[in-house]
Amino acid sequence: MSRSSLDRRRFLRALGGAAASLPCFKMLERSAVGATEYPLRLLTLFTPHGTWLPYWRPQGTETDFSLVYEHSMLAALEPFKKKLLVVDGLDHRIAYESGGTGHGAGSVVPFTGAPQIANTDDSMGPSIEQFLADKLGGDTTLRSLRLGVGWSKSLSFTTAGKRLPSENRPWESFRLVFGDGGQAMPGNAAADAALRNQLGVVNALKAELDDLRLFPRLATEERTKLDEHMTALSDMERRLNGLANGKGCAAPTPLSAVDNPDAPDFVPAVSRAQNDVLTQAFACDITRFAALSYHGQGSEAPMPYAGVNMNTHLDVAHQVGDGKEEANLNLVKIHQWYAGEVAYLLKSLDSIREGDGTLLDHTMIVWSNELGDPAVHAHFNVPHVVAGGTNGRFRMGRYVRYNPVGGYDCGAIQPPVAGCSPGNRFAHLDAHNALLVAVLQAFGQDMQTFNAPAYAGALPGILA
Amino acid sequence: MASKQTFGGTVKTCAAGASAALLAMLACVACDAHITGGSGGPTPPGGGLTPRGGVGAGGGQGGGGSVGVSGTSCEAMAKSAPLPARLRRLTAVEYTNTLRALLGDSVALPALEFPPDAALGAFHNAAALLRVTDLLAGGLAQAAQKLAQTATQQLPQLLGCDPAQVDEAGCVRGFLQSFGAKAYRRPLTSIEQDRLFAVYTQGRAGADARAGVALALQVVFQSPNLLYRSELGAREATADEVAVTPHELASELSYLVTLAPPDAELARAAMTGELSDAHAREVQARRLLQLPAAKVAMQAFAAEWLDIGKLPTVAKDPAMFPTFSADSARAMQLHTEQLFSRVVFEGDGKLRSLLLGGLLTEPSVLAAHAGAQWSSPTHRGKMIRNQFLCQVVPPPPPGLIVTVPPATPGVTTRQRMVTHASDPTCAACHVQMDPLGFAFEHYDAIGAFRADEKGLTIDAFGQIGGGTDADGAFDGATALGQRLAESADVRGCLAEQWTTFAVGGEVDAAFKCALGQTLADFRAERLSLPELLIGVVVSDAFVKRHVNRP
Repeated sequence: MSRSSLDRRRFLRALGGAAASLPCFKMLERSAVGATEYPLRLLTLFTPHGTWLPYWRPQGTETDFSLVYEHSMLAALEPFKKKLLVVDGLDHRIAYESGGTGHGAGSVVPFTGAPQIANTDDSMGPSIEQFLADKLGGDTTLRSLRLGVGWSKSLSFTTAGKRLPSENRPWESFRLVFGDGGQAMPGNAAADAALRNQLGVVNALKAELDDLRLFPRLATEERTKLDEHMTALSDMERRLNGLANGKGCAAPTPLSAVDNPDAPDFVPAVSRAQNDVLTQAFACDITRFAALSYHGQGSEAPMPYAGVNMNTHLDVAHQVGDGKEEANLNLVKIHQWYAGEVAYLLKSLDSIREGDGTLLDHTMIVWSNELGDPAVHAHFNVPHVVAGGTNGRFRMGRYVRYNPVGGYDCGAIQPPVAGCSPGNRFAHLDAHNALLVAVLQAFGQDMQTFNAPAYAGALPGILA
Repeated sequence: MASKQTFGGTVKTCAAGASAALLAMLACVACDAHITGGSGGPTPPGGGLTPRGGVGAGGGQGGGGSVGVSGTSCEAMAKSAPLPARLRRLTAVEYTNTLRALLGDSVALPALEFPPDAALGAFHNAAALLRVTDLLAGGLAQAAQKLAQTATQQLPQLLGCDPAQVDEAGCVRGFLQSFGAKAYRRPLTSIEQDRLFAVYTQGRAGADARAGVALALQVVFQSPNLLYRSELGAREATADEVAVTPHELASELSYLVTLAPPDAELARAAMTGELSDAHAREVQARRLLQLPAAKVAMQAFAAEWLDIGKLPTVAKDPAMFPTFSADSARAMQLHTEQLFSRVVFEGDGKLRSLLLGGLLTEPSVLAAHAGAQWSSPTHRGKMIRNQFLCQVVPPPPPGLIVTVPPATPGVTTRQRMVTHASDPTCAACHVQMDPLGFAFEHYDAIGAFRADEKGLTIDAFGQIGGGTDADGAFDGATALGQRLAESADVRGCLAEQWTTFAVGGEVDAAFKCALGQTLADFRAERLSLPELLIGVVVSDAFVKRHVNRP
């Protein structure tokens, strides 16, 4: 037997052990009106390649729709449709307005609503879950948790607009959330001393960093760099304190490492493991803000586990279109696989009781994409799905449609679009910033814009 | 007319023709969106090309020594320090080399995986982009813990004294002072010494000397003073322009030439202060260039420049290329790196020798810039355009279908891409890439030679346009290499690429001015790559930094 298949078996066995449910303590918060409420968690979820709308759209009306029909991409989500909001017709307008296109802008704008800075990988503003984590994430051991699956690229950006890395290796995500093999458990004197020692190390590092930060006339860019470093150390300190104070979960079975968790062989297992870590991190209130990204934008990785053993970018996404049913159906398979993973996550969240409801009731998942139509590399009609009970903040269980006109450039649309002119070619596009603003408001932020002052207001009819 | 109706909007495809009005509009979008990067330079010829960094040696207007910047302004700019005072976080390789130098070869280093860093152009060592994120901080903490355990296994050997035999506190204090100075690449302040000793004391309590030293080493291994190479100059400096301190200079030199911390000789030179003298720096740089580590560093540049480091993770169709694996990819990469360092260190160090020595037809280069199944002249041409001509091709405009027709029996790769040339919208950009990439049509997706394409005759005739002195026609990869080898603009581009890597940042006009004669000499083929390095090292720009310039 080859080494890799041995590794794979060990890995899968370990995953099986890890998926066992964990005893977690519960956290309660007082809401503004005095009623006891569980905190709302946010997950931003990214998958690449755009979509093919005829097979993505639900069938039916706003409140009475079905996700089950031949070739439906979202069929796996049918059991959860009361906790879904399928948002059709939102456009990543900021990408066009700022001159960005294709995969580059597509990997910046989904959760920032901000322009990509030209010729860089940077964003003009933070991603929504980082923005909220900075504001609200300070009570938990991890301010935010960023996970990836399969050669993924994080869609998370700092306040300074720098892309943050994500963790692609589930055994490392596990360590991040639960500590090294869980040996740092409360009530263990040796473990307590070890934690105090680690806190001593972090304190010394913070003092050294402060020396550097106090350097006279340090340029702003360098200070920002050191501030980010300081935040990382403070987060580490908080995590250690959390572990020391017993604010953690019982030790799960550690995962075995594999050489290349991004390889297609491992992607299905890695996906499940990352979703398990995510579920438990939410359940144990280790973090309230998370991001999960599948494959990078424009990913070429074959997806044999979805029945698509070819270059998913050039041979599938690029080929999609009217009358190109073979490619369209391959894209359906890809999307169905993603929807299956989302369904698994929703099911996991829903299986954890919290008060009268479940963890899923107290979670908001915002699922976005880099593109709309894949072959056109278009940023209009980008598929968006919100999932979870959202603590009742959003009016869920609906299929809503925006942007009745569609199309990238209103000059090319017949009959002519009102307000369209050569200087305002994107007049008809519905900026997805409105959805991001609605999310912010759901999290109690009194904001009308996010990263793009031109697009004000929350998406109408979304907030309860 | 082959526009199609999608979701109410009309879109355009590069697989077929389109209406003239729509064409004009789309082409315009492409230009509007991307010419702005040129810092007000002249509109580049050829539709939408921009020189890297605004005043590119590849702009083609440079000629002679002026490097594309007018004389008077260049003179003024050359006087001031072109580089800002920065903190440069070590790259993963530099960090590993630093620990190796600290602990010696006998200590096994655990695998250190840094989360991937963002790139400036092709280079992953840009000071502005190397940050310490929560993931890196967490990874370093974990690695530091393991390392400290390993490093303290033979405690007396590490400390240079046996804490069980002599005054333990004195022994440890002395060790932390000398080891810390090596790690921080400068003497420690008394506050820093006390701080490390306090951590040792904490770890020592209820345990033993080894536990204490290990805890203090955990701080050292993830210290910001180890992680960042400082260019801030002296703390007490007040002018807008600061001199890089002798200790900082020693680090600049050693990481530049060897991707590693200063050795004993360089540390000695730092203590004497002699490195502020250009000649002393040159002597040190020439000495470092003789070390094996210099070869490895130059190979690291080559791997980044040609973007072949990614090859082991690039997907190739296993059915078509069963021999291709991560291991064979690494072997291909190493072959190219060795070709590069052989020319640089054993040959004349000239770009001409690299090109005529077959750099462009190295399988690693061709495989890294190809599809999973096909040769992709577009990707290969784009690589030549970016990395050899220093010109940036804009991404496809929005609304454009970027489908390449599927492979069809009886049709060559080149024929599949015919719309790229025949359709003006596509051609506006593709003319900058495909005709360059056609040179390599005799090489498949893994860079293996093919006499024909499944029995079809291969046409490897191509053309360079874009306004540099390399413009003109060629037939095949060898002829393309010859054409590039004759070009001063291409040499200027290599100089720009290498200096970008060397200084870990954008090479702006001021920096080019500061290196005026060196760059002119390199363009004129009077200098080898190592001599370009020397030119940078002896320059004023190497030793001065500006602070808070408005």
